[in-house]
Amino acid sequence: MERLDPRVRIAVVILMSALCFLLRHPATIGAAFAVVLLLWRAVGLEWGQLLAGIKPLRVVFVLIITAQAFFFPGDTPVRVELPRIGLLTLPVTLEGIGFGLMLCLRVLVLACTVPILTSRTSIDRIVLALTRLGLPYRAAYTVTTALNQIPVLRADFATISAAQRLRGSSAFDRGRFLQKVRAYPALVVPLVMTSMRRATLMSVAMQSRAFGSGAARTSIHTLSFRRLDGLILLAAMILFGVLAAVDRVL
Amino acid sequence: MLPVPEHHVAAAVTFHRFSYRYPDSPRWALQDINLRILPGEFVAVIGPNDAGKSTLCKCLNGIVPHFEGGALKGRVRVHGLDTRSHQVAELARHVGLVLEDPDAQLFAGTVLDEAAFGGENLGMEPDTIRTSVARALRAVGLRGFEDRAPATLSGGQKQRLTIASLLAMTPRVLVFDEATSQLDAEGSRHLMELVCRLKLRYKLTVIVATHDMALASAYADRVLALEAGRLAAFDTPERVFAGPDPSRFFRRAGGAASGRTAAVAADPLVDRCRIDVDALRCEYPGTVAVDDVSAGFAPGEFAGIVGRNGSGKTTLFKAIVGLLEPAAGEVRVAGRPVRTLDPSELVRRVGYVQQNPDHQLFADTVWKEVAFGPVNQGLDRAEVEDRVGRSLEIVGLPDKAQEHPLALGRSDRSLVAFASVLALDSAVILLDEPTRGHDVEGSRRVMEIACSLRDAGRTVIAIGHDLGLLCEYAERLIVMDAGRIVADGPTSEITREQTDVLEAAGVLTTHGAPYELAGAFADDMYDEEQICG
Repeated sequence: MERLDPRVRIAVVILMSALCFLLRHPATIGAAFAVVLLLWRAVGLEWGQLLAGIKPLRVVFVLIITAQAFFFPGDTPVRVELPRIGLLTLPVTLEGIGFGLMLCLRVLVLACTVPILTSRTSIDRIVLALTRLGLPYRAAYTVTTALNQIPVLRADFATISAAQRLRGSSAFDRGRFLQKVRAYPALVVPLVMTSMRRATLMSVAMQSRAFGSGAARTSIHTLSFRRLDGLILLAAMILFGVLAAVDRVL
Repeated sequence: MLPVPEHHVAAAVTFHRFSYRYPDSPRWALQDINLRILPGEFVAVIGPNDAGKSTLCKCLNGIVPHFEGGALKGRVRVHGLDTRSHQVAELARHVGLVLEDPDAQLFAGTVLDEAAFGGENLGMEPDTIRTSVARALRAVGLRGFEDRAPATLSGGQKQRLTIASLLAMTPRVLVFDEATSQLDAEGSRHLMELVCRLKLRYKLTVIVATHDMALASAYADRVLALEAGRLAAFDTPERVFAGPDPSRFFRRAGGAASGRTAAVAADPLVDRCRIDVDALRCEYPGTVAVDDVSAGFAPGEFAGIVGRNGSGKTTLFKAIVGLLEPAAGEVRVAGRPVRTLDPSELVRRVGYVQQNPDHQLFADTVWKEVAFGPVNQGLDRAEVEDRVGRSLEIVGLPDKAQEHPLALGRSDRSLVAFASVLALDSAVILLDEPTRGHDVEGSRRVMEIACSLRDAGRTVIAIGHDLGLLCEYAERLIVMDAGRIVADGPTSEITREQTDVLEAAGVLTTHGAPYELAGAFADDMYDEEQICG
């Protein structure tokens, strides 16, 4: 898998992302999710990583479903006892909940697709693939470096929230909503400032190593599109085609 | 190819009537600098914080002025190239710059890619890059690490990788801007020994900015002392350090030598509290960070903890404040297990000053920053004002109360973070490398604050890398090695009778004579082959 041409990975990820929004039937989106899970294993990712990746999305899912339940134009109202807000009453519709669930499933498929791109391959190979596909080198490097920084940001965030908690701030744990909002600068400002300081240092370090020298950039990696790469790409395209076709019929 | 000049006439680096001012700064960071550094020289750049050491380093590869902007006068030449008319990327072929923070300099996915990054940017042939990368990795002892992710390396290995990634571009000058300050004593010594060896073998010019006087006098051919942006001395270490009051090069410019910090009045109201660590074991996935550690800390005690990076010091602190769930054993604060303490009660008992002040500063004035804790504790306004006032007094920043904490220098930011924890009025103060980012005088001030807190009846526990400094102030010393406490007792006793333990734990800071060391290297680790050509 490490030797898989990263261009194939990029193509598969782009196809999968497009497919997610093309498919309209829950069964086919479900099938697409199953395919993603198979790919997840195929590139050597663990189930534990999957759960860790999905966990933070819970809030997003709740927001999506709630918003769609109220605002999606549907005509099967669901009886729920809700406090009336002034004169405004919005019916919760079954279609809305259904659409919300579908949207969540799409987000889930997308979120699980991205790590497939980056696992078990060097960032350099992906950068090379992106530049071969026509993306300017600086842009490609920015994207991949940003991806690389996610675990660092996560670690920073943990340290920062520990520091503020040890200064007696309990608003993040059990405060009311407004208190939480008010407490946010204590988390976000240090996070942004540390990242900016690090980004400045990093750009000094990169320039010190001739980044942006103007010379045509070379790479110690070579990309070779082998027969196996072609077969995998073809198989993915056929599978996605079948899914799209089945989706039309259903 | 590294050219060896026939006569050492052509200078490697020249500064000619050079002055530089950062954008938006009223002050010249460097003023009228004139100097010549010869090829193959090892120059240590010393001076207090804000004297211009880091700026001088950044002038050498054109980061100043091309990246920083600002105004400059005069010129800097590196191997004949004027840094004003040559871009950073061009100068990178000649000058390599190693920064303080090992993490900020590594951005590739593997060690191999990291080392190849420079060559690729210069458009070198892939085969040439592979050869020079292999040689550079061998030269720094990282052969066999090619496929590792840089993030998984130790601090010392990371700095060696940064050096390798610069060596692969075959520079003639290597510049280190405080590059050892995040390493432990042993790591810092190993790195400097490696640099000496590379210098001798490849006739590299080495320029090292440092606060470490022992390092400067052990390795440098010449010491360049800066004072408020001006060249104060440039001579052999013997002459510079024998000159009148050499300690001024480690002192803050314009600051009073001492007495800036207020002594803490003995406070009978301090809620005295014991900390007991009992057979503590803490694990991270795949490693045991703290193993079978037991220790008790009494009120009015100042204990120093030393040990290599990764020996479990910070993990122990995290367990004491309940940030980590122990795998076995427990921590008791005032007789009660830490996990049963209410967060607000814990805060009142234990204050934890973390390593990096930037992980907690967020307010728009120093005053508000320091008030954050007391306000969270639900104190009334008068009490908050009193606490903030006292805390700022203790760290010596009462006149900076209305300044923006993020606009302050590194050492003042550390002091603000320190004050913000002091304002919690905790009975126990944990200090994780409190002197990092301070110059020698600043470090002493921090230690004096710690002593005055102890004298006021608080318990102070400090992690430090500078054994000499800790020994001067802390009456008790705990030595950690590989997650265990290997020595614990009165400082004087341990430093007198257990030097072998200190040696084994890698905390002794004896820098050796570099030329003897160069021969005494573990030769299986470092390859004899030429790096270039």
